Amino acid sequence: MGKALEARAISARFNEQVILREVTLHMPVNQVTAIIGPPGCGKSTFIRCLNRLHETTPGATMSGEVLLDGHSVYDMDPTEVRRSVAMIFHRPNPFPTMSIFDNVAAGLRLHGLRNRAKLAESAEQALRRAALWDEVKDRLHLYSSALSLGQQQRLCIARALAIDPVAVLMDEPASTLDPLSTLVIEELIEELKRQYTIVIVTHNLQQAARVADKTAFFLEGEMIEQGTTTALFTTPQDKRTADYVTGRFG
Amino acid sequence: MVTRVSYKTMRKLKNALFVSVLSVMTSLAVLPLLSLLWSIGFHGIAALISLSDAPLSRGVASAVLVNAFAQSLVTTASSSAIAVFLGVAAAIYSSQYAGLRVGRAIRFTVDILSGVPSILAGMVLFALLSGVSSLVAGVLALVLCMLPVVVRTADQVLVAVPVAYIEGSLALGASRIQTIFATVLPIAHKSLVTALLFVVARMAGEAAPLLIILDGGTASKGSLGFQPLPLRLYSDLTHGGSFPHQIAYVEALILLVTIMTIYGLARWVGRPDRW
Ligand SMILES: Nc1ncnc2c1ncn2[C@@H]1O[C@H](COP(=O)(O)OP(=O)(O)OP(=O)(O)O)[C@@H](O)[C@H]1O
Ligand SMILES: [Mg+2]
Repeated sequence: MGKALEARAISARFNEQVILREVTLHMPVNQVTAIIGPPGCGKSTFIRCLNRLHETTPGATMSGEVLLDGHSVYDMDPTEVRRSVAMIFHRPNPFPTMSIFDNVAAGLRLHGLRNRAKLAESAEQALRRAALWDEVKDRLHLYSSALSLGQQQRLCIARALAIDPVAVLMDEPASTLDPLSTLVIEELIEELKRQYTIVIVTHNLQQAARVADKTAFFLEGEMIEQGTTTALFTTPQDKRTADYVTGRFG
Repeated sequence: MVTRVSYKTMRKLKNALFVSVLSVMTSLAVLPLLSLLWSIGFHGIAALISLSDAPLSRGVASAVLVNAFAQSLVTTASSSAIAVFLGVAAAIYSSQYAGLRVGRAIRFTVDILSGVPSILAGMVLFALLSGVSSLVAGVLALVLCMLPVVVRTADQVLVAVPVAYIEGSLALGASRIQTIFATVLPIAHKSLVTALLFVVARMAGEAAPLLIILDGGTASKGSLGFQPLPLRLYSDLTHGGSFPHQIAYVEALILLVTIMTIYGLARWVGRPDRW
């Protein structure tokens, strides 16, 4: 079952440079929230604050609160936060030294699962949920590099789902993929939102319109406007949002 | 039309000139190396044959050689083990834990240290450790020489591991240490082993720091005292006489073959293949 995420006045910096200013955003359970905005406006930085990955970069700091189901993630152990709030990156990053199976099992093994039968069962489940099982079930022991880019991205999704997260963050998950793989990923997101809270960063406005229930528009480190996707795209309140969604800049 | 042809010819001429200059320069760089390999190979094998012809010299020579080789093996292996253990640990720290500023400071220090002539390492240990067994002092001197190079090399290899994989691991809830052992080291291990073998190969022939510590030139000249291969080579060469000279050539040959074997091993480990 998913859990809601809520950002309260998040500010983030790299060294002295302020990247995010006081961003507040509620990301409801079983919905897809899309983050849109021009390059460099802090979209990635924002979702990296949600699972506390931001602070692992040297020189990166943040302030404000992130609530997961009402509990501050900054009071939790960072590894526990990242385990519950999964992240999919814009470029598929399956571990190159591991087989397809070992990639999916990696998270489970990290958290202490050793039983072979259980590992196999969970891996199959995760691969099914990521809509990859049928394509790889006969070659689980090949290196992940044997897969196409789109399959690798779904492998990363399977790897993330295997450890039962409550929310999934996706940073432009389809930006390096072909149109068909993109479609597969989008259908997958539709499917996944029944179980998880999903936050997706995207450059692609059509994609946001297709998959997101809710959309937030970022500009130069600030959250300019948020609302249901339909409202944001059809009746934006802020002129800058209107300019962006109608393609006048960005 | 005419100008066009001459332009083409000019270009060809220039190209030929440039290529020949480059080949001459390359040969100048490679020739000394080849002549060194040739002379050691030729004289070494010749010495080997003539030594093994006479039963008496064969006995003495093989005792000397086996002793020197074994001592080299022990010093190089133990100093490499210590230096690799400490150096890789330091490199893990500098590449995975240290912030930008501390990392830069470590790299700067290590760069300076690796530029220090190895004979100075011998001097420092000689001053510090008078009275300690020469094996221990020798090993420590080699460790001191290797350490900065190992740290620098390992750091470079580890820093080159793409952040995407490290973040992929962290995003699964892995701790830093789990990430290092399950992700960073498996990805880096081939280049790491290759790079470290190169460092070890260079140290196997290192004589300068040992020369001071082990006093190889005087005290144990001609005897079977503690003398790893490079030192034994030095003392046999400076001893004079044809028998020590022949042995010296065989020792040079052994040293060369050993180092080339380590290089070969390094190349083999680093072959472009799977992980
Ligand atoms: N490791 C870093 N060190 C310093 N500055 C960084 C770092 N990563 C990102 N930045 C800066 O932070 C700002 C926001 O970056 P971020 O990646 O969050 O933007 P983004 O909206 O995701 O952009 P894109 O659409 O190009 O992915 C940029 O100006 C970028 O230069
Ligand atoms: Mg980004």
